[in-house]
Amino acid sequence: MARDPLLIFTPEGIHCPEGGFHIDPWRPVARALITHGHADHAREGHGAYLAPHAAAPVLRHRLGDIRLGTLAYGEPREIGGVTVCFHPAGHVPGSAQIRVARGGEVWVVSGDYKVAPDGLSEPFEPVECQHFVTESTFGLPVFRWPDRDQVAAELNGWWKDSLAAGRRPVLGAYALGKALRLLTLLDPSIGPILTHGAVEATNAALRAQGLSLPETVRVTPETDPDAYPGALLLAPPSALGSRWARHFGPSSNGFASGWMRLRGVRRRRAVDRGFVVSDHADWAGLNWAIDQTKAENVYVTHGYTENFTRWLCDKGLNAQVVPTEFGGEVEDDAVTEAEA
Amino acid sequence: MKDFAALFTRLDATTRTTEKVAALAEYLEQAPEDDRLWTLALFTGRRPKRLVSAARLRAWAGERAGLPDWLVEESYSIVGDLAETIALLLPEGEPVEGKSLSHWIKYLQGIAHLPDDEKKPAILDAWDQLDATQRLLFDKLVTGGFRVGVSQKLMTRALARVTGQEEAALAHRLMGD
Ligand SMILES: [Zn+2]
Ligand SMILES: [Zn+2]
Repeated sequence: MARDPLLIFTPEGIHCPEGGFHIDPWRPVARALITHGHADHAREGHGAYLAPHAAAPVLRHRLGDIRLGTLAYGEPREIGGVTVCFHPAGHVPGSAQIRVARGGEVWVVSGDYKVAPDGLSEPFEPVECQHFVTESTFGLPVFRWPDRDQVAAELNGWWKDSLAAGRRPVLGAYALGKALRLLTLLDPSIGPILTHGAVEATNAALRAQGLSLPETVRVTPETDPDAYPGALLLAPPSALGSRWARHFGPSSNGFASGWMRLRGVRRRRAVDRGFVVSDHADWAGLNWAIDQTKAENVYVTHGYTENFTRWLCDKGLNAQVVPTEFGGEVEDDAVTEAEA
Repeated sequence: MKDFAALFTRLDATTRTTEKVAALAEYLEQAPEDDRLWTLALFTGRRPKRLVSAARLRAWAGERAGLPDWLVEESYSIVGDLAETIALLLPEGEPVEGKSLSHWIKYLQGIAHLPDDEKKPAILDAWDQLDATQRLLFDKLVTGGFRVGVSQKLMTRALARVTGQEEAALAHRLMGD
């Protein structure tokens, strides 16, 4: 007799009936396993949380005093007859894929992931399974990420050019993940790096857990704009063009996102420079990751779900679109002109 | 083509007139004579004739990238520009140093009279030698869709800064022939 599937997709989120838990649920549940700290995956109001050790500081920073249990990567835990285990997803520091197994049946829920190492996040680890739940934020073949060195050269070149043109470079990026990675690409020998409070708060949480980041100066209302000639400002995208930024004089606005690959998006956002940097896998990365899992069944949760699913079906996989409430619109990369 | 692509990127990246004029003037100052003339011609609306239909170019690109037609089509509908879509879909090229804008324009003129199936290998070969931005511009030359947001006024200002009116007259002659 066929058993019920190990994981099912419910209005609350991805659910494991036998284990009595949900993964990244979007409605309050008793027990939530969390892939990472972005707002669309780690929400308020669950009875208990389980996450990788490395995700704990960010989760506490975002969600406050929650009931949080943690596991090391690769450390199995039995929950009601099923075994769960976290494996690095390479998306942001502390992010995980979640392996759920019962006997020989193995599912992997990958949350958000990126396969190229970024020097900060624990590198993506392929996990073999029969059922793979994948995102497809950038699931179109036009998305291909340049390598780290190229992006670093572009960023630092822009920093110098802006200064030479008498403009203050202001770089917009999301606090968790993206801003951090940019820090590792910027060349502090050009000048000081000033950070917006929202960026600095996350930096502090991650420095506290031992990540080494270049020195930054937090901007406060008392900060004298003239005290830091040659400085670059690192801020959330909403700060681009804001009063906060105007305080520092004429600016050149840069924005880092996978969407910057598209000329139309660059133009609509009206930034001076776009940098192609994403915490999500590009087209080749998605395909490589799915190949590596050897999964025959693929569930596509968010992004270009229809196209990517059709592509996977063409390749002979049993793929289907699974509607979810993962957006990634706010905290994530997938910000388009919809964001004010 | 590298310098021309860099100019395009700079023009594209700013909405400030002063910066556009500065970018143009700097480019015109250092560009070799024939590149300068072609740039003036292209930016003042003298587009080369279409060499290959958009549909055919799209099919070749899909084939080269190993993608089914429907996926190229879907990509195009999201990117919104065919030359850009093709530039982004193709596998990473090996940009060749020292092949200028005028080199590629002459290259295209050289294959203009060939039937499509003989143009195809020449176009695929060119794609391999260009990076994504260069390809975008190249594809626009191929499809006859070259349009860049530089007004005549802006162009004249940049020209005046660099060379005075004589060259402007030359550009007009070039446009007329
Ligand atoms: Zn995320
Ligand atoms: Zn997400």
